[in-house]
Formats: sequence, C-alpha cells, structure tokens
Amino acid sequence: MARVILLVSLTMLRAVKITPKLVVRFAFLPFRKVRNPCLYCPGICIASCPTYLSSGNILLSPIGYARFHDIAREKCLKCWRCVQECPLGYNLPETYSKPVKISLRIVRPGRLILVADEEIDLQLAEHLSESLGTGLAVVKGVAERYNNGSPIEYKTLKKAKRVLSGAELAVACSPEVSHALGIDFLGIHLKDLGIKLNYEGPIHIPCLLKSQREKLLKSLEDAGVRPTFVDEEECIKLSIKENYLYLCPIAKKHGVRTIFDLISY
Amino acid sequence: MGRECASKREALEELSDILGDRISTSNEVLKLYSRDYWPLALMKEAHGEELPRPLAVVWPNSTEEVAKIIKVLNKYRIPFVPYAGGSGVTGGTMCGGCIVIDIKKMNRIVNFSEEDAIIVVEAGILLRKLEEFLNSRGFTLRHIPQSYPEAVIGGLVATMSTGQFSTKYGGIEDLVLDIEAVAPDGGIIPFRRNTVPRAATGPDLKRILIGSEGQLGVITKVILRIFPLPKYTWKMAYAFPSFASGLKAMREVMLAGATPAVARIYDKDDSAARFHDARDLLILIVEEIDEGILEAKISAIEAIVKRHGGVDAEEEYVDKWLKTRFDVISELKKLVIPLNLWFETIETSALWSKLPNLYEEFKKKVREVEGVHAVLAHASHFYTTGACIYFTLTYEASEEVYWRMWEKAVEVILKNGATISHHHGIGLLRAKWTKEELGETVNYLRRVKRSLDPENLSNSDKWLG
Repeated sequence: MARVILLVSLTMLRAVKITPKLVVRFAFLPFRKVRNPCLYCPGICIASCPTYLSSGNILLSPIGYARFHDIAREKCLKCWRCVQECPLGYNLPETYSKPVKISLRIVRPGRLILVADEEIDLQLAEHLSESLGTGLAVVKGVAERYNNGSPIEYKTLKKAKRVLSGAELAVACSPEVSHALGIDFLGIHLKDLGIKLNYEGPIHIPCLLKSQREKLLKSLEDAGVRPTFVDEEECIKLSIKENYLYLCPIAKKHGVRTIFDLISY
Repeated sequence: MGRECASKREALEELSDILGDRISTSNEVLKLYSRDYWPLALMKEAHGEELPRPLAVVWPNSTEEVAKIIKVLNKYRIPFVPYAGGSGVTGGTMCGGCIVIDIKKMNRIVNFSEEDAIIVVEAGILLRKLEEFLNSRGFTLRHIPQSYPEAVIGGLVATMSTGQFSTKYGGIEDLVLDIEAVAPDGGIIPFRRNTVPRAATGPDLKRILIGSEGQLGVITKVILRIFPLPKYTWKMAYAFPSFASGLKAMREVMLAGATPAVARIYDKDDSAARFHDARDLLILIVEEIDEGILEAKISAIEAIVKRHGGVDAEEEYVDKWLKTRFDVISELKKLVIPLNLWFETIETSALWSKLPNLYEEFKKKVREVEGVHAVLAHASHFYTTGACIYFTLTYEASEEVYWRMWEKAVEVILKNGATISHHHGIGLLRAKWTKEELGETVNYLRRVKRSLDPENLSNSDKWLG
C-alpha cells in the first residue's frame, strides 16, 4: 500500500471520481505491471531509430520490434538509441533474446586495464595494451548481446565487475564493452592514456555513447581531433561514410578509418 | 469476387513494377498500419480485437511515384490512404482494404532560405528532424505539438494541427505558404510558379488540402514559414482564484498584444495531477528576438495578471511542463493501464463569452457519465477572440463507456457554441457530428470531394466520401 501512496498523491486523487471498484484496483496496483510499454506508446523514441529513418517502415522501428521479436532479432541494429530516448528508459533490445552469460579474465594485470571483447576488438586491444604498457582483460559474450539483443545474466555481470574492481581504472576499447559493463570508453580517457591524435574532418559518435557526446568530444579535441562535422544520426551497422573518422572498432571491418588507426604515443 | 481478387493481384503486380521492394503485404506490416494512435483503436488492439487491415503498404520515393501509384489505383478502382507519422488520434488513416501510401521516404529538405525565412520540404520529413535542422541554423518552425517526437509534416498539414507555441506563431495553417500534392486522379497539383508572402490570384485551392485528412489526395511537398530562434525568454507561473479569472486575464493579455508564445491555464484537477498543486495555474513563456519587446510584454502581463487576482506560483512548473510535455507513456504505464482504465483527449475552442460555461458544464456533465473517472482541463492556444480548452479524460477501458462519454461531450460542446475539434481533426471518431457543426457546408465540401475524386478512392470511407 505504501507503494500505491508513492504512485498516487492525495492531491492527485482529488481529480479522480473514486468508485468501490476503483479502490480495489488501487489496492492491487503494486502487483499490476505493464511489461511492454511500447505496446501503448505512439513512438516517442522513433526518430532515433536508424532502420526506421532509412525505411520509413513502422515494422522496422521500436514499435514493430516490440511486437515482433523474430524480426527484431534480425533487423534491429541493437544500437540502444531508443532506450536513450525513452522517458521510461525501457530496455527494448534486451527483450529479444534470452539472457547471455559473460565471462571476464585478466590477461595482463595492471593499474590501468584495457577491456576488450573476444569477438569485437581483441587483436586491436592486445596491440594497444602492449604499446601503452597497460593491463588487459578479455570479456566473452558481449558481442552476442549486441548481435541478438539480450540482457546480461546478472550474476555473470556482477562477477565480471568484481574481477575488474582490482584495477584503478578499467576502460573499454569498444562502445559495446563500455555499454555492457558500465565502464568508460577509451575515447573518454585519451589524456590519461597519453594518446595523441592528429585529425581534422568529420567524425561519427557511436550510438551506444550518444549520451556521453560532450565528454567524448572534449576528450577527442584535447587529444588533437578537430571535428568539422559530428554525425550522430547514422549507425555504423547500417551505413558507412568513407571520409569519416569512427570510434567503433567494428568500423575497421568496413575498411574505414578509426581512432585506433591514428593513435600515436 | 474472383474478378475482384484478380484485379487486386494485378494492381499489386503493377505497383511492384513501379516500386520494387518498397511495397509490403506482410501480415506484420498490415497489422501495424491498421491503425493510428486513436485511443479506441489502441484499446481494441490491446483487447485482442482484429482491426480492418489495409491491402498493402507502399513507400514511394517521389511525387512522380505517388502520381504513378494513384494512376494504377484509379485503373483498378482500389482506394488508398496517405500515411505519415501515424500519430493522429481520430482513426483518420484507418482504411480496411486500402493501399496505404506511406510518404516517409519522401523526407528531403528541398530548399532553405534564411533571407526569405522559408523552407521547402518533402512532406514525409519528421517534424523533429526538420526542427533540428532549422535549430542548427539558428531558425525554428516553432510548430511543437505533443506528437513532436513522431509526427510528420504531411500528416500535420492534413490534420490541421497546432502546436504548444501556437499562441504566438499560429497553427500549421498559418505556417504553410504553399503545397504540392497529387490529386485523387493521379494528377500533380504543383507549387505556384512564384513563392510569395501573399497573393490575390483567386481563391487558394491549396487551402482546402489543409485539414483534408487524405480525402483530397496526397500532400507531397510543403513550403513553410520559419522564424529566427528567439534570443530572450521569460518563464513564469501564476495561481488564479478560479479557472474563469485566468481566462479573463488571458483575454486581456491577448487583446493588449502582449502575446506569449506559450500560455496554459490548468484547472485545479489538471494542476493536481500534473504539478501536485490543486490551484488554477497559468504557465507562461514569452520569447522574443528583441529584449525591449520582451520587457514590454512582461510588464503588460504582470499588470493584467495582478488585476485579475493572479499571484506568483513556482516557476519550476514551467520547467516541469517543458521536461515532460511529450511524455504520453509514463502515466499510462504507471496508473492508467494497470488500473484497467483508458485515456482520451477532447480539444475544443470557443469564443471568450462561451468559454466559462463550456468549461463548467463539460466538467460536470462528462464527469457524471458512468465509467468516467477523471476530467482534467487546461486552456491553451489563445487568440484575440477566444481559446482552446483541452480535456484529458480517464475512464473504464470499454468501448461502451467510450462512446457514452463522447456523446455527452459533443452534446455539451455543441450546446455551448464550441467546435467538436480544435486541432485533432475528424477521422472516424467525429465523422457523425460534422454536419451538426458545419450544416449545409458539409454537402458543398462533399461536392468538392466528388469533383476531385469522382471514384471516391482517396481515404474513401471517411466523412467527405
């Protein structure tokens, strides 16, 4: 009942015509949950969805993905832009597939640890860690989360974080690992890592890091990046622009330039 | 029957030849396009009821493609309905057996002129994307309805939408300079050959497309007036002794020319629900390019408000409103749906002389309807002649209650000389009451429809058909 009072103040109740039936329903309110709020939403997040913007098709938007999970698994980019726009912060991409287990191991201990995903950026992180003289940790399962749309099994996430807690600073080499583990992306700590970049031109902000735009831009500028245009609209999984600088390691697969190609120490 | 099926199949094949993969007849797509955001349709869907499905959905890339599609549909006499953001709340795009022409791939900015303060856009552009484009260049359309995150320009024009800043900037009809459209026979109605601020070269045919709800063809491009972003803003909230005294104050403000961009008078119930403060609250935003004009307006407003018994209230109410103004989902998830209730909004407008009685009677009579639990009200969209009152209703999630509530609401509205729709439009919801408001005019409008659309194909089952 305390929860009901939290949800509905007495001032608010003055506006409601109370009937005995409604009183009973209020009593059961804490036990009645809306599991899938997207079913009732007009699409507050919809202008952030790259597949919707490119197709104009509601099926290829959070409204469609919330209803048809088979299609979501295949077509949704799992960019988490909709989650960042949702007033409820509803984690739609986590509803498509079963929870994924992650595991993390320390390859090389250190005060400062780079964290890579086995499938996404291991090679790159190994090279970077050696060059910078930092520690290295490798996580398994993160790529699967962003390919299929899964939550992380809580126990395994907790364990991974415990393993990392020994380091003074753990930074992710990819936006995916940063987002999954809740640790900072390398691009935010360029100065701490002694990384310098020399680049002038358009840059792309990773979807998963959109909420950290300002911090990221400041760090990049401090490291020597002079952006002439900032693209926050496109998702790398849908479209690639050849003359842009990308922050996502997976951009390398498409043969475009990433900050990792420009790093000088 | 067999011939009808064959002709539909042939039509779909011809459309596929034009559009390639930009046509869909998949069950999932048809289900999603079977409704807009009409609360009754959403309720039926939530209760597992099947809604009438369209025949197919197409996504043209250009005006010329829209014209080709419509010519094919004329050949086979298949009805069609234009579709934009899907954020309408009256069932205006619901059209069983129709071809849905979704215009959202036509979303380019054709021309932006800072000097002339106009922008030319394809009608499928998302309002939010257009506003972001303009803001990044120091301009604004300042058309900000609650559906801002999902609405599309063509749909806003077809609905005759208005926005939260309309008191200063006007409704969409004040922002549209010109329209390009494809007529129901597939002919292209072009822009004028010159774009001008105003012209007296006969009646403006394009004006009948504003509010036409897809019944007179497909809007494909729009020229819009834009404004430089304001440099100076003043936000304030006041509490009034009554809703009526708030209205009187706003009447004086409007007639004095101290026009705010945003003015909203929340009645005690609405204030209680939104701000947890059960007083009649006025929230105001005044914004100008020139500081002197802003100061003059503030001084006039402060004097008028005091004369009508307004006292300062918490300014953070304005910020709270600004922060939550597009959020239609939080309350639904937290309270309305779990309580097995449903929601509706009824917007009307009337002259100053009619507003107090309209407000009182609506609140009383509609609240008395069995199954209705709450009737919140705020006045917004002010004019020199009157205002819009926007009622938000919560009721038992049943179709029977829904229509009972609407019958009573319309009875009160018409009795008090108000309109059945200020800015949501007619659609399926209000069709049966249009003649009560417009009288014989409806028949003349129907003649216009028949002349432009002799086969009655353009959104055919609506009120003009």
